[in-house]
Amino acid sequence: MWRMKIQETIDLYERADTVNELLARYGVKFGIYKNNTFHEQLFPFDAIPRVIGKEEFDYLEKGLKQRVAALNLFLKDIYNEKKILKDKVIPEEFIYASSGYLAQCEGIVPSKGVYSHISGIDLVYGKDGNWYILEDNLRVPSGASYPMIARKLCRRSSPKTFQNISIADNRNYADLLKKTLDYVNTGGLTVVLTPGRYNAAYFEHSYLAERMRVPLVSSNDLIVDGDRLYFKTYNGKKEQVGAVYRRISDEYMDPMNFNPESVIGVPHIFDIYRKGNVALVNAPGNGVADDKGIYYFVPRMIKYYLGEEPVLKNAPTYLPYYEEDMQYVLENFDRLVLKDVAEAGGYGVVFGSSMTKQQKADFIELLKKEPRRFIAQEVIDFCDLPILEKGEQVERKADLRAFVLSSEEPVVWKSGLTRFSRNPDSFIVNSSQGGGFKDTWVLNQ
Amino acid sequence: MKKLRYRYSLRIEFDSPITNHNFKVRCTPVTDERQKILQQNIHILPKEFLCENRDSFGNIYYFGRAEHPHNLFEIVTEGIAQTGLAQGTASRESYQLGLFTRQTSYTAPDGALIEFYKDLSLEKYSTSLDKSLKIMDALQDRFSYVSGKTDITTTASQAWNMGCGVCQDYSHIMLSLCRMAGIQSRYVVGMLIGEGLSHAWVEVADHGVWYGLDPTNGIRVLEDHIKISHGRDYEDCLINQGMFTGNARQKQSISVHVEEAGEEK
Repeated sequence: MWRMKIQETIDLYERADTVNELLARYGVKFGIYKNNTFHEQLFPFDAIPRVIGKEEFDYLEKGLKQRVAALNLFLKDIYNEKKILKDKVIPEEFIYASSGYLAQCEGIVPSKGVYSHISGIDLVYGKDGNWYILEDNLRVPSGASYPMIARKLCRRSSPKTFQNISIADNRNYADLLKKTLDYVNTGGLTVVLTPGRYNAAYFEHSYLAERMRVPLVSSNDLIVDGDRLYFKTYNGKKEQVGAVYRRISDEYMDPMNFNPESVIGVPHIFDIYRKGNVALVNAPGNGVADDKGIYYFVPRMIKYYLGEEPVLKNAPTYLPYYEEDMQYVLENFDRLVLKDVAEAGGYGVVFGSSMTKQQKADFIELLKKEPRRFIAQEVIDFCDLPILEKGEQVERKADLRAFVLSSEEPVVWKSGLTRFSRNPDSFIVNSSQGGGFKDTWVLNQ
Repeated sequence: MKKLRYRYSLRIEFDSPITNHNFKVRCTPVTDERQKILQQNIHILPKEFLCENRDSFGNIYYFGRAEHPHNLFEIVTEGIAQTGLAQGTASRESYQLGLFTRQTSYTAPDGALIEFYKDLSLEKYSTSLDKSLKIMDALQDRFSYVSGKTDITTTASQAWNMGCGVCQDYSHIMLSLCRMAGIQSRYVVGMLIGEGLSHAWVEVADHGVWYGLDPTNGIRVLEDHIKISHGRDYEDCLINQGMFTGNARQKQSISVHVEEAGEEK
């Protein structure tokens, strides 16, 4: 792993406060719900970048493209032919019991056959010198906008840093994203659909729409008429929409097809998607592939669909569903991390070592009752990254969310969101849990 | 083989005008191996747009919207079907039907139903169809037809504990028992010869064929039934779904009439 020589980037670090002030001014915020009220907080930026050398990035790129290709093939298979069930590579129980599996999506092949247009793959770099995949996010992965804008502001604050070091430009994300959306567009406008300003990632929705120069819309701006979707413009005209980058979860997207209580969805949007008259990005039903239980099977999927050995490793994972694994989990409980497969955003994650005797007993009882609900993983001893805290350099846990955009050819964005934990004792880096972020530099050589 | 003339009608009256009415209706029989739809007319009022589509189970449905104020929503489907053309319909491969062995919120059994299942001793029967026929017989002996005690939200377990119910309850209980036995089975909505409401029954898969069984009447589905839709349970086969703006009370009336085409007066 690359470590920058401090002299090369010292100018940037000295200007870290300026960058944070600019980020605040631009409203780079993250919303969280605590005790049922909405708080918006700044997403703290750390000026020391994560640096990935060219060779290392080439390796990651190969592994990420492979993984996303297999996940896309899996989604197509599972909602259509189900060959992987015939060949018993995955027990069918893991498909149908997954909360992300949607029977409504059976038989649908989305425009151009792409399911996961934007994949956010979370990795960590272990002290053993290996990268490990922690999680796949194939529904509405967020976070690309933060390194985009941070890079822009860093370049403005410290132009000479970027003259001295040859870093792959990451400001092309909007172009890559637009290309991905245009590729599947069935005819008409491309729009970004947001649930509104009380969404955790509202800054990102507005920023990406602005950078792509496409309308940022809410459900009231869209209407299904006949078998097409339209954007209602300010002067009362209707323009056809062919691709919706929807930042609304499946469940709330269409009250006529999913949760009828939803007030942020567009009635009948799923009906015309079924007909192939609009592209929904990412495809509904993708949750079946990024379920934490399915994660266990991704290396097998890669072998099954691509006939290749996985380039990138999963963190060692156990499925209590299998008797053998349950035994292992019970015997090694104190050194494992347990995850509820239905939860996301750092919720539902517990460390065996941090439980009291009673909590442990309760948890084991639950585990035995609902083995399908949990996975257990070895705690990866991942590398700390330096961060600046009150002018001092300290080490904190960090992960990397890489973005893979799938259109005609999959592309791995030459950057990514590096998140770190501000708490020195915590492994959980999610922004919803108060973490901060860094830019991710990919070197050109 | 029979030729049946059918008429399905649904009327919803609102006591004050409603607007922005989005709807979805699933009340159209489809031609398959057992039944052939010879002719069919569909009227839906009011409508400002209306589209035909197929859902993920292959059922035909119509979706649309009526934006302007209205007090009445009406659907009428009428036509002629030839039935009894085959014993059943072709199913997909067994490994593709896993969805139909899973219990749903309507069919999930509780203790009493599990006990009943255990007493059936289905091991004696070799095929899924034979097991299902045995389940249907046992259900006939233990459950009685009484309307008005259960409603559309009643689950299989709730109905079982009451000991009585209507076709929806018979079908959910039957599905619950079949799925406990690992039999791929699905809920069916359709029409039965005679006059009344829409009807519900089940289909079970056995060696590549879906067979219809009507547990309410304890009979196989051959000539007297016209199938409209199928799914995992009642919810997948909803005949009418809607959402609208307005504060109105609704009164719904359904009437179904099926008779042999020759008997026409």
